[in-house]
Amino acid sequence: MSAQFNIDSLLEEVVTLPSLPSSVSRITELLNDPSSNLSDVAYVIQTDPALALKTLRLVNSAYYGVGQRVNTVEHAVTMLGIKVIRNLAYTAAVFETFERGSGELLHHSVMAGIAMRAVLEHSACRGMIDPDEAFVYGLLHDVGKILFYEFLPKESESATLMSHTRKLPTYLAEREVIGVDHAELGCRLIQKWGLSDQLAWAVAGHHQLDAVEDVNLRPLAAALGIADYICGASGVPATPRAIVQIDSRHWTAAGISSKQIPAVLDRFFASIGFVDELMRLAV
Amino acid sequence: MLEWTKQGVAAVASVELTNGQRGRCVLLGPRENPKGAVIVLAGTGSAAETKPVQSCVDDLGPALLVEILCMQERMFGASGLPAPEFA
Repeated sequence: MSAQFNIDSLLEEVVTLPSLPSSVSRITELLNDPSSNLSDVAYVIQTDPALALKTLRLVNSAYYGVGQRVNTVEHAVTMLGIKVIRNLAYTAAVFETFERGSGELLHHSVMAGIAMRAVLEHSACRGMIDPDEAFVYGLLHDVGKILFYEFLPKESESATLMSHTRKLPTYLAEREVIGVDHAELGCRLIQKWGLSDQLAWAVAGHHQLDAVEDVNLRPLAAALGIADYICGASGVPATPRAIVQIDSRHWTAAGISSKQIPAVLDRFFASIGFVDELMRLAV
Repeated sequence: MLEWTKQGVAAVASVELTNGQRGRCVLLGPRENPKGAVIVLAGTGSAAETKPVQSCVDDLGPALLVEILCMQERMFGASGLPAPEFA
């Protein structure tokens, strides 16, 4: 068996958490600064050509559906407003991060973003975050896996193999092989990036709600776990042949009963046509 | 996850309802068709009772219902989900 780590020794000895691109960090600072304005945000986006391009492609995608061609970053910022722009910037940054990950994981994560929007609409978390934020939650929920692929590829592969042979969910196999699971590692990355605490804890608890100390944040973690489960049941798990399971407490915590499931899935299935377009934006 | 088997054009899996009753879920067509997914329960004597999934949503746990409806969409839906592979 491989060396065992806890989250601190893993971060100290093996994994270097990547920084959020400086332009996205600057946007976060500006959005938290009451004296800044939308033109400042647009200027920062324009100074990063890759981010500017991805922002424009996202704004003009059918998924965002603004209904008219947007050709300038300033126009995009004015039309969409602060919250959406912030999430676009995060989404663009995450797509850059996924360039290191596998195609299956990107597909799964985009699907999870779409599923999280559908779950949110019918859950007890409605109103806690807006639908564009929900998409980012899904997109980031397995970001810890990218770090495992990059820094611990052999151990990550061993965990996948163990998951298949012992029919264990991947996060439990990761704990056995590495000592830390992708949800905990993803939470640390999101905290380092300065994204919201509720996003970090939702990622931490999407498989196991007990990982979220603040009970008020558990509904979001539960909703994210449900979005992940829907993707697995839809034939798009994070890794091929993954063991797809969900704790029954997730449904109660998210306030979703069987009655809401058909409506959640209607919404989800209706949005699947956007997945290919969103994935093309990543490359 | 449920173990689905292909029987002709249908997919079949054993299921357990929230009241402990056991039966088989049979997927035959798309979600728009009320009889596209049914639960077959052993009735009294030799008669079997067949119920559309839509009418027994409350008797199916949410995780089980997600599995059934997603598999139905993968087999018969138009949304573009990957088609299932059967053993």
